[in-house]
Amino acid sequence: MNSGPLFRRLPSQRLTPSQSPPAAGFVLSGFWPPLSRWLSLITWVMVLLMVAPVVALLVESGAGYIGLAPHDTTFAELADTVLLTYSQNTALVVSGAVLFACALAILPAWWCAHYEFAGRRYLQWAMVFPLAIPAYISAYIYTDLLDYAGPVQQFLRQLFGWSSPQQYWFPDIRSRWGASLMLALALYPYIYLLLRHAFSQRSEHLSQAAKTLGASPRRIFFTVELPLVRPALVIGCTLVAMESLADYGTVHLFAVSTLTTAVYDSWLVYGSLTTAAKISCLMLLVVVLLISGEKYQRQKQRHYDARNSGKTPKKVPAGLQRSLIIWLVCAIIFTFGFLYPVATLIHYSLTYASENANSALWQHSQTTFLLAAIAATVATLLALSLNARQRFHPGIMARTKLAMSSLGYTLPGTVLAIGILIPLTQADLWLNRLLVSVDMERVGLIFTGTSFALITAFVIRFAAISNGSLQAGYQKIPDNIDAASFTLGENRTATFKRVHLPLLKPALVSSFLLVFIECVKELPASLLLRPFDFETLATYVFQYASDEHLEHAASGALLIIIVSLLPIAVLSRTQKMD
Amino acid sequence: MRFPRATATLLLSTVFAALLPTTAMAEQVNIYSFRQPFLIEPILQQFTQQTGIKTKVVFAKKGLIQRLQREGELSPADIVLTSNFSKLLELKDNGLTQPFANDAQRDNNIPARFRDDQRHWLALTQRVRNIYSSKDRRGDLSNIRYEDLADASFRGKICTRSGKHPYNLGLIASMIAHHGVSETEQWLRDVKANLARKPQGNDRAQVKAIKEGLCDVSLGNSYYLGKMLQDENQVAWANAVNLNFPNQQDRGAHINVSGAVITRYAPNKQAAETLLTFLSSEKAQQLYAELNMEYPVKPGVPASELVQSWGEFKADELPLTTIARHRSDALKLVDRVGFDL
Repeated sequence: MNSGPLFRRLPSQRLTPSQSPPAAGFVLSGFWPPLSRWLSLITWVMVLLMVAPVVALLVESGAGYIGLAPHDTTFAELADTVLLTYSQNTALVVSGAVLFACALAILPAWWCAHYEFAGRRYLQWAMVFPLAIPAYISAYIYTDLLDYAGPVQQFLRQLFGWSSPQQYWFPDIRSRWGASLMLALALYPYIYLLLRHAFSQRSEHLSQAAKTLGASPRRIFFTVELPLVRPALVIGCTLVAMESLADYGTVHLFAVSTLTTAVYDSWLVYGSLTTAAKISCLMLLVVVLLISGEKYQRQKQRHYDARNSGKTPKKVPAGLQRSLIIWLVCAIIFTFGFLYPVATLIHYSLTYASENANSALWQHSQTTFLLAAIAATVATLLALSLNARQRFHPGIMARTKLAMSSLGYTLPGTVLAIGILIPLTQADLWLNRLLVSVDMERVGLIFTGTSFALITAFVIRFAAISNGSLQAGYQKIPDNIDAASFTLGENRTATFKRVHLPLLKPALVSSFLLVFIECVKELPASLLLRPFDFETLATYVFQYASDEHLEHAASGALLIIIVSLLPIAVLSRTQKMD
Repeated sequence: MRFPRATATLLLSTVFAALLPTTAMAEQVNIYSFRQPFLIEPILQQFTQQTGIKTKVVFAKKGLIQRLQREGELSPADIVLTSNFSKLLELKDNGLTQPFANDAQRDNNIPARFRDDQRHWLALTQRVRNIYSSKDRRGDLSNIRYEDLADASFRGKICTRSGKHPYNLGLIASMIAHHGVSETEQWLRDVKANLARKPQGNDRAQVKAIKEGLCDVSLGNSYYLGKMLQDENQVAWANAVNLNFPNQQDRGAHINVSGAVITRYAPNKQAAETLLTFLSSEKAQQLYAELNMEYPVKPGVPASELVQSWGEFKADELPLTTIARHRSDALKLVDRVGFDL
């Protein structure tokens, strides 16, 4: 996907003198201005809705100081005892996950974007598949495989005649690095997807120039290609980092205590909402600092480059040796990230066939699919309008809105769920009181007793993914293309519709895809916010997995994977990525 | 992305259908459950068969109390089912419960020590915190006490789940109730020093670890043994261990209870009362005993045959309310000695 439509259509149309100049066009061109203002209003409302849980939490965490809640010492006690260890664990798990994920993603993304080789079309999609497997499920499966009681160590013990754990050393999968690796295996496709897209849209002439100057392919990759895709790389890493930061399932299974554990503990075990909110705010602060630090460092960079925009960079045919290496590396990643977990789940389903044949599963799949589709659509549209505004009216307001709408991603699901319950239950209460005051019947929990709360949670939680995809998409559209469009007499609306939208299609699609998959896998908020008699596949699987009985719900886990794979399969057929 | 119109219409109509709150047509009772649905479903089915009252369940292991608190007077929940005692007290202490009716039949079913004296909660089953031990490597440990787990002879030989799990917290709280905070802290430090590995997994996983030779003893509730014996892939783990009832020579084994409360704003209070009475009845207590291998609270209802084969035991008679008062101290101790780290 490249800027084809612009150059096919722009010159032949609308180059009439009657066209208003861009600034005036925004005010004068008929129907669109009011709509754009409506859009602005809607985005504001949405952004406020998205910030509401975070504000509610801040208020909660401050309540003790201003005398609204009894002062409690839980935070001080945690700080004295375990908080430092928890913070270190968090830092190690998150940075480990990012590093592992980069290691898994960068080369395959480069290969698939740069080289032409047999089977590339299949391989480039297969590399996305691990995204369909929730990290806590692969964690469970790899624990079974690599634990002391697992087949690998049993085999080693038999082979060497060891009989107790003291006689040999084996890496402990239930550890910080284990958690990092599991998270990376499930999350690296974020980086991969963003990078592959960025690589295939890169400016070829820069590396051609480097080649002319005698640089080796390795040097070109590290000094030209990689820096050029830095925005996409950073966004991918940020997504992986935030996702790992909020992870509870995997670290819980691996008994690695992180800050997320501290949030859960202080809230649900110590019963101190204030402390939970304080720790959440701390985590939030770190994330905001990291992101703005990176932005600050990058702010002077601009991409002005249209010389090459008209044509797709040609793929270089890979020789036999290189093709083999590519296939080997990718096959290993695919096997560990997807094939082995899926094979194990199939094995479980067959071994425990009667437990796994559950007629309710079909119903749960439909529920899950529908919820995820709605949330993904809303999140993508929201991100599109926010990013478009930021593009046309770059300023502190637009940037703030964009940043605020991404806040939800940093909150662990359970915290977000309770954060959502605070304003929504209040809204429910007000609505019902209002109805009673005008002599109407109470309607009950319209917002929190229905899937509304759950969809809201999904959108808030995953808006950052949509924002990230679209931001990366927008950054690959050079600013001077907008300038060209304006010069050719198009106003902002038309520029958006005819230039940005076609160019953004891959970004829109990957935004929808990523949010959809995340929603299908989402667990903690789903558990807490779902109405009565309402299961998503994830909650269904969890009630067994939480009792270390994943075997009995393996078919449900397989369905999660299938439902997540559906959009990937459809897209790989309909979307000509290169 | 272009949606065909039909798909869009379908999506929208389903959304609106999902958004409409379900109105209670037939009589029903809404349950927030900390217990897994597959554990309670057979019992609830029996209830619906017997009374015609439908049941609706939301299951979560965490956060249901917070949800109930937030929903306030609009909460649709009538009953909360918990799997441990501290949650029952938490519900009561937060003002989320209401007293249930003074029902002679229920009082008859459930002994006074398993009921709140203000009738805010009701225990439904008992579970014992046992010590599992390796048959091969440890032989007969039937005289073991919880205190013995601190003994140096168990260095590197103990497995357990997280110290913050309600079952372990309950045990630690009972140790505090009997020995005081500082003595319990030393005990917990010594137990920590004896661990074969960082606390992880559930009670079953510890038995598996004993079978594999990773450790010799573990803490675990008794009904897990029954469940493992029923699972053909786990029966080997179960056969590798002895089930010991601790402290039989002195105060008796620590027990916890699962139970139920009626919520403060229960919209279907009458149905909730009916369910509560049913859960305390002979029939439901038998089902609990047979299906979940827990000890019924109703006197005269026998435990399942398998459970009975593990023998009689003496239970710690200290009132649960006394033990539960030390719960937050127990939690602080776990963090202070870094038990889970």
